[in-house]
Amino acid sequence: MVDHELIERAKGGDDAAFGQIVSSCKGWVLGTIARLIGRPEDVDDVGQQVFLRLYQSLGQLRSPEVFKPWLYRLTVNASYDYLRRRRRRMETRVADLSEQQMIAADMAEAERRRDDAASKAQVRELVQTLLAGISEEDRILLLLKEVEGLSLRELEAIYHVNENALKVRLFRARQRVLRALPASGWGAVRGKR
Amino acid sequence: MANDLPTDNNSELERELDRLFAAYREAIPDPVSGPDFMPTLWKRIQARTSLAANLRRWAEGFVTAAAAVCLLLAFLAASSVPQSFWVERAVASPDELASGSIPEPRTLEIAAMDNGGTNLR
Repeated sequence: MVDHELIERAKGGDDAAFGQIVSSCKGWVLGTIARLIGRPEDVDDVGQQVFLRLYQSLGQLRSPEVFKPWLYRLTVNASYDYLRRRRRRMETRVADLSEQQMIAADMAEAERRRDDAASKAQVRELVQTLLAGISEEDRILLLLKEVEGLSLRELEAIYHVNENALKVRLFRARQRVLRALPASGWGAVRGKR
Repeated sequence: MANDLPTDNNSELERELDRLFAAYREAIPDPVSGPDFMPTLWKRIQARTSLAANLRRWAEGFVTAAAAVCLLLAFLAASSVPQSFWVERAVASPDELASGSIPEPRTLEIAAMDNGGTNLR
């Protein structure tokens, strides 16, 4: 947790204080981004976007108590922007491949790898493929809940949406992923682990 | 493609999905940022703030120029001699009116409306 005094100093234009905030939050911000976007090679770039936005908008922070959900929100927004950009790029590149072909291609590629890193890569790609069937907003929401382990109350603070609406969205997103799970190849991947 | 997941048992599928998410969490631990993370971040911050400062300077220059043009136009409007109307001149100088130096305004007399009001003299 970031010290409130540090936040106030950074709000006042103290760059050293801002640097300390970045150092103390960098770990979980980059980790969250990595799991939301699923591309470790692009994490630094998106993370810098988050802290750049933080620097620009820190003066608008009402009170230091809401700093964490606020930084989560910036993280979510930057990840969402990245996913949208990536989807546009992928749509132009693989517009002629069906989803099943893409899954098969991903699995065939993943199955060639044999070690532990390959197994993790398989899981990563499998989850990415499963989540490709839902919108970027739902994907991020689902990952924040299921993978990052955020509570509904924390999600409420990030999204400014009431708990019931969040529950409905989460339920629908989870159901869609569940429906796609049997055909995803998870059984085979899990068997090898 | 191998598939040993139950398709009819929902609670078992739910557990499998939880396992998959747990495996995903394990597969992507918190990454260690590159050594140039902070230097690059500060460069980007400086680039953005200098861009904002440039835009502000341009905007201020534009506002100053617009204000100067407004002042100039106001000055020009105030310094030009206004063309007074005949009535104003006649009231201001009745002697000139009597001597005929101020020409009387042209008048239009509307003829009787019996011809449809089109006969103007």
